[in-house]
Amino acid sequence: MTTTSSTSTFNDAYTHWMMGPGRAYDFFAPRVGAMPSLLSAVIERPGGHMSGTPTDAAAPLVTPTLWSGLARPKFLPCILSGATADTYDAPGLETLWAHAAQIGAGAHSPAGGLVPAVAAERPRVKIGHPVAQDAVAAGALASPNIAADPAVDTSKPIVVLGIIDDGIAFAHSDLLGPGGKTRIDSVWVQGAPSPANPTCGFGAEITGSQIDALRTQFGGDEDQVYRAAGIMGGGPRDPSPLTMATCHGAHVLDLATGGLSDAQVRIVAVDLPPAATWDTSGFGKDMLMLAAMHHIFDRADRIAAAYGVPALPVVVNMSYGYSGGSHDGTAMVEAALDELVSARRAAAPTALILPSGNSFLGAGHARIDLAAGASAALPWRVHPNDRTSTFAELWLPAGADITDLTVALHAPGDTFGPAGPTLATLDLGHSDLPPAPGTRLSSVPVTSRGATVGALSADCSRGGRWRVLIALAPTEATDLAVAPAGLYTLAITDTRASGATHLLTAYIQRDVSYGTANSGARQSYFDEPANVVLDPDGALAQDDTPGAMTRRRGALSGLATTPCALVVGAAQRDPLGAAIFSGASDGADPQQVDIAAFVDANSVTPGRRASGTRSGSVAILRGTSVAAPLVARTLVEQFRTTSPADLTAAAADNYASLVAAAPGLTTITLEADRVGKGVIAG
Amino acid sequence: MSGLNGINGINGINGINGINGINGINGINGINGINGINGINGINGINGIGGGFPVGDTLTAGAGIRHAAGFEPIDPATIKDDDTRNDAQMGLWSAQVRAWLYVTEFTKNLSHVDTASSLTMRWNGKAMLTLDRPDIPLLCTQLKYLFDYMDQRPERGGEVVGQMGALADYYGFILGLTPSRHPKTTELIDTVQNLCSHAVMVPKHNLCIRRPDQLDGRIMPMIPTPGHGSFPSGHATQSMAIATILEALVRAKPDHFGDVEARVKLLYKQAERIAGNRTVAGVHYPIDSWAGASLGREVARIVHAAATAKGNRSATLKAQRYTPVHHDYLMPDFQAADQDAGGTYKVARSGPIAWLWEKALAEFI
Repeated sequence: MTTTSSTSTFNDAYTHWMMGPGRAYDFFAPRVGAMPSLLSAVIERPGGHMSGTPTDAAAPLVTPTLWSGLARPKFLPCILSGATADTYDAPGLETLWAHAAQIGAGAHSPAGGLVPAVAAERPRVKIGHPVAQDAVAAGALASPNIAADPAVDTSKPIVVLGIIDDGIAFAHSDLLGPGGKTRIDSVWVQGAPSPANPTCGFGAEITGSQIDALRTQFGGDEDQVYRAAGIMGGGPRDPSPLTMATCHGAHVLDLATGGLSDAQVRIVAVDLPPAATWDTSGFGKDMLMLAAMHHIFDRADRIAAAYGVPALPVVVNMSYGYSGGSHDGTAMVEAALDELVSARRAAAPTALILPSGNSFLGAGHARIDLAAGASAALPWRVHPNDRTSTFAELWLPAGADITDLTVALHAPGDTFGPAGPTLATLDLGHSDLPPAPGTRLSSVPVTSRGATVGALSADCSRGGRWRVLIALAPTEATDLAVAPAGLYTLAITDTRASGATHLLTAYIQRDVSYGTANSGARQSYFDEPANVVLDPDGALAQDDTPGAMTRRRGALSGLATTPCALVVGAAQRDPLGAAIFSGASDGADPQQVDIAAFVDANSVTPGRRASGTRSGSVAILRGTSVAAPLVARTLVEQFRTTSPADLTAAAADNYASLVAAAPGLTTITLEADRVGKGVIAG
Repeated sequence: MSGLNGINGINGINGINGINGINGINGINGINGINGINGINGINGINGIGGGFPVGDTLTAGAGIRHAAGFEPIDPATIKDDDTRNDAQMGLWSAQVRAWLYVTEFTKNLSHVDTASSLTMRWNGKAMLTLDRPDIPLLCTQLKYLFDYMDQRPERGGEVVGQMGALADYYGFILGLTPSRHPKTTELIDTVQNLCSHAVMVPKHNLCIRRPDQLDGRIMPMIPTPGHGSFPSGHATQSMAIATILEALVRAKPDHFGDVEARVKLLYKQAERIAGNRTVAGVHYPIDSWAGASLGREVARIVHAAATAKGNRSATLKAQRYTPVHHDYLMPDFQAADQDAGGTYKVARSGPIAWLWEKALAEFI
């Protein structure tokens, strides 16, 4: 049998769908105004890029501020421009792609810009979420005015707390230091229009003195502060989470440092664009997160300079994640974060705190032990009224070849009956177009009722492992073909005559309607009868069912396998245990949950109280996103009270032991895989 | 169907919609028109002058002052008849009386013939819509969709309960209707809904299809199973009829809205959602919605034709047929489906219905 697979303009299966057959759906469909012509991207060159701000009019490339401590970063966050409103179609993309590759290869090397290419070096470009045209800085960047706060005692330790989130409620009274001045030295609002004298490559920066001035000018009316800062209202832009009574960023900020009223803890926050947090494909935020880290490290150096002290310890909390990914630490964004954090640890203690994810009970992870010649059928339930694309990833183990398998997608059948007709089969072992690692992907369309409503694509990850991505169109759409809803079957067959059993892992990508999105996203799940959902007491079962492919353990956030990260789970106080949603790794994963914090009081009062968006309001949010900033708060305190030598040594386990050494740790030996070294006090 | 999504308990914020539970009282009585027409705007309230019978003080007042009018018999030549041209006297009656009149105007033309496997509804003796009876294997297959939609119960609970009564509110906000400016448009919506209630009970009774929870104990509907057959869906009948008549209304005044196309799209999207909510709730198969939409569209076409036919010239409409097959109820599919049964039927002008139409039309400049 010969499949009708075809190669793609892209080498990434998500990009292939989002920019190819799936482009009319989801986020690239124009929501407000014209299509964006700028794309965020990360370019990897093993030989490294030259540092600085290599903005070049000839090359369609804008870079945000890069941290100067990394002389030749291998990973360059940037914005690719030059695409026009109508060039998202294939010919334009080809041009854009070729251009990006040339940049990476040094063909457009300008003076003071990019270094020439190392011979035969092949850059890897990962395209992400679009960036609004008016967010990009027009001219040269000015230096931010980061002023010394007289309340800071330079003879005592100073720690910088970095917060990357959405809905950074910088006017909040919980963030004030002694004397009523804010402790925030810099907020970078990535989605805001670029101001007249920009200090960031895109978006707008608001410094501490500006926050204090705005609070004074408007008498503490936070609505007016955010409006004056250009974040709320005033133009065709996506609605800010700051318009809502409750938002993620305000809650996280409060848990991490709210009410501390201590000028020795300086805050640098990065507000991600709202639309980037709505993304349900998991491919969109890489550049924004990486640029945020560069910004925090750069501003931390400027804060140190303002006080005339050496490089300061930095704790960064990034309460984000996604459920897809290789889960082996090799994803481009993971490697990029690792490069940056590792380099900064040479200068000063630097922590990156990530949540373990909330997908433990989501039935979005499966493990399939497939012997040579064997087959498996995984039932996959896709909701009606799902207005965003749906993705499931199937990962092959290291050393396995894509030609070892065939993967077929069967349409929904009757609820309890057999699967429906086969919609697509990926059979690269018998194809005329088997891809090789590092080449472009191969893809077959998923066809229903005569229209393309999905794609089965094979690509080879940066870490050298094969992945099959199953992309499905929304099940509800206006004027577009839709994928049928219901119970699909993913049929996987190992076509080898002999050989070792392959351990395949499957992950359904995060697919929820978040924040101000109203995206209509719905989370699909593996609806496998063998997976026992309730335990004998009627509670949601916390243990995996022997013999079932669907797994709770292993449903770790795909970002939480970043090697340099301190991974935080959530716990419940009474009865004591892991919070039921809190993600944990499979024993085979290289990265485990390091530590946890209490989020649920008990089984009937879930969530943790902290600040709402406006001063004085209270909100209850739930998730490992809530646990991570509690650990950040403890780690900031540990950084201030631990000797420099001990701090240097503590980096070995990403400061897990240092956090665990804080008073009041509760250990849960039986659930160490979910809470790590234990649950911190508070 | 696994209920796993129940762990998103944070969505409990939907509980706010519980306020709609008040409507639940009406819901048990079903969709009966008389309550429905009063439901939204208190149209009776506007006619407050007829609202009471103050027999005590007016009795003595009359006796005390009557002599001042003299004692001569009234002269018939001085009496002017009320205007009945174009059924103008409709404006003299209470809304409830008008509701009864609309029903009479509608049902006097309605009849049906049935076989073991189908029911043909007739208008003025001619086939108007034939509905083929689904068999039990098809119903069992359709249960798939009830399980597919089950995961949406937590988020749609407010709508499911709120739509147990009158539906005008769910369309009013698409067209910016207010009780003060659009009383007759609201009456038109309520009337169409009411006529659908009468029309749909005929096939529901004759075809006698068991509800989903009467096939499979795992359905466990969110609301009490209504006391009538499953096929066709009354909500689909009403929601499609309302969307269709409102489309005709806004297209008859094409300059009133600048965004007619968008609003029309929303009307039908709402019709799809209201019908879909009944599948989410566990009381209807998607084929019930198909059959109901087929009927509702004809009811609206008939109302429109009865309102706009000129003088003695009847309007000619095409007879329709729906033969259920296994499919979900998605509006683009329904709109693309050809249900032409081959024959035609004629709809004559109805004075009362034309009166209502003209009044509603006048509310759109």
